[in-house]
Amino acid sequence: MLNFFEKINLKKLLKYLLFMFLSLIAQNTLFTQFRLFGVCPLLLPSVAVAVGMFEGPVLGAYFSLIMGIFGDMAFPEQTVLFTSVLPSLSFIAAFMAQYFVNRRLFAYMGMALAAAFATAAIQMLRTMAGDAFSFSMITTVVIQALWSMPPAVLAYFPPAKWIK
Amino acid sequence: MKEYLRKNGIKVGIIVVAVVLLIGVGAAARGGQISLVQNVTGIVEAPLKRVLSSAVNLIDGVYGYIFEYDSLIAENESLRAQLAEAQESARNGMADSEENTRLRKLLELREQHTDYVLESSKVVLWSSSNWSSAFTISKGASSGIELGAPVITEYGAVVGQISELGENWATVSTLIDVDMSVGAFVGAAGNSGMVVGEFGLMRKNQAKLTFLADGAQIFVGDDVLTSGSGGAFPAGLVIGTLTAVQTEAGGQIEYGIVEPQCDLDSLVQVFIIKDYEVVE
Repeated sequence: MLNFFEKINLKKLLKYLLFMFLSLIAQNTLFTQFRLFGVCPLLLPSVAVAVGMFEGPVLGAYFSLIMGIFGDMAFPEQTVLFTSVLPSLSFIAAFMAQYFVNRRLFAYMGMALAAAFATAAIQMLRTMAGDAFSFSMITTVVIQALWSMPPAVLAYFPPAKWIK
Repeated sequence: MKEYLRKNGIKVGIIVVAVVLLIGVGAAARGGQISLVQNVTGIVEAPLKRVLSSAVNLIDGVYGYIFEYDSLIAENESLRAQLAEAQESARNGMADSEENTRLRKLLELREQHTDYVLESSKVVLWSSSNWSSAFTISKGASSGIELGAPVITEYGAVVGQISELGENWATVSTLIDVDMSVGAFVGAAGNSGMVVGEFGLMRKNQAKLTFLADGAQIFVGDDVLTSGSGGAFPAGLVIGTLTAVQTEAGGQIEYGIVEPQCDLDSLVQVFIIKDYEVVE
């Protein structure tokens, strides 16, 4: 743990804090205005994937954990969903980038899409726990995951640039 | 020439005076009309005057461009600022007028329900979650709002309930949210039931009327009001109207689709009932 804190670059830390802040602001204020069939895009899983891919499993998971805590605060129906899901997604993305896929935009988009589908499916399961299943849940999962891809492109570039 | 004038000067002088007199008498006789000489002079002068006038105008324009440009820019900016101010004032006036209308309606509601202690609040932001229907308001615990407090419009229509509470903010889960349930009376007969949120209906801005009493008959167009059961909402608030009556998959249990009275998409200001008289 001490070794981890010694490795922290203060400038980089501030950059990532700013990145997290802007992502949360965009998610909670800007994206509520962009609805496709009444569905908002979800940026946070893509941000977790991007940071995990470029910063590795440890820093990515820490970043996503903090972002998940703040993310859950803005979503009234869930308590620890993002807090638990986002670090996992970040860790998996880091693992994949280390052994199986490259760090190019196309590979990132594939992982971001998978992360968006996984998050939406978990949100659906949480809703199903207190409500009957309806077909509109499936359509919401699909639209939310696909509609999250245009903003996901924006989440790729900050970590990709900083790591160079 | 000198020699000629010395010899014939008097004659020439007399002729010039005579001609001048003749012209003068002629002009007087025309009663203000121009003379031939004037006319000829005018014809010759007119184009010259026009050229001169154009030149003067051009010089004036150049002068103005060089020396008055800055003042015109400043004046333009000043006028733009005045226009923006006037437009903002007009917009504020419209917003104030709309708020005034809402408060007048609220006054009527207050006169009908003197036991209500109300707190007004603006809708700040809708949640970006696709799995709930909630929004944030600009008042919280510091204004005396409590968790679970009912939220209504100026017409007394149910909006929802406080589900999260901060010091100066609160989250309102709307009537159609999947986690909401409100005790209700339906129609003229006053059949009791529950209005609950369901995901499929939430996407269409509707809620479900279910858990109806045995033998209850409900019809499309029936009004749905709060029953006050459970104590979360005071009795008699308008929830909405029944738009459809359907049966569950088994075909035995009837339920209704409720269209909320309040237009959730156009909410600007809401009112939180901080306290009310509970009628047992």
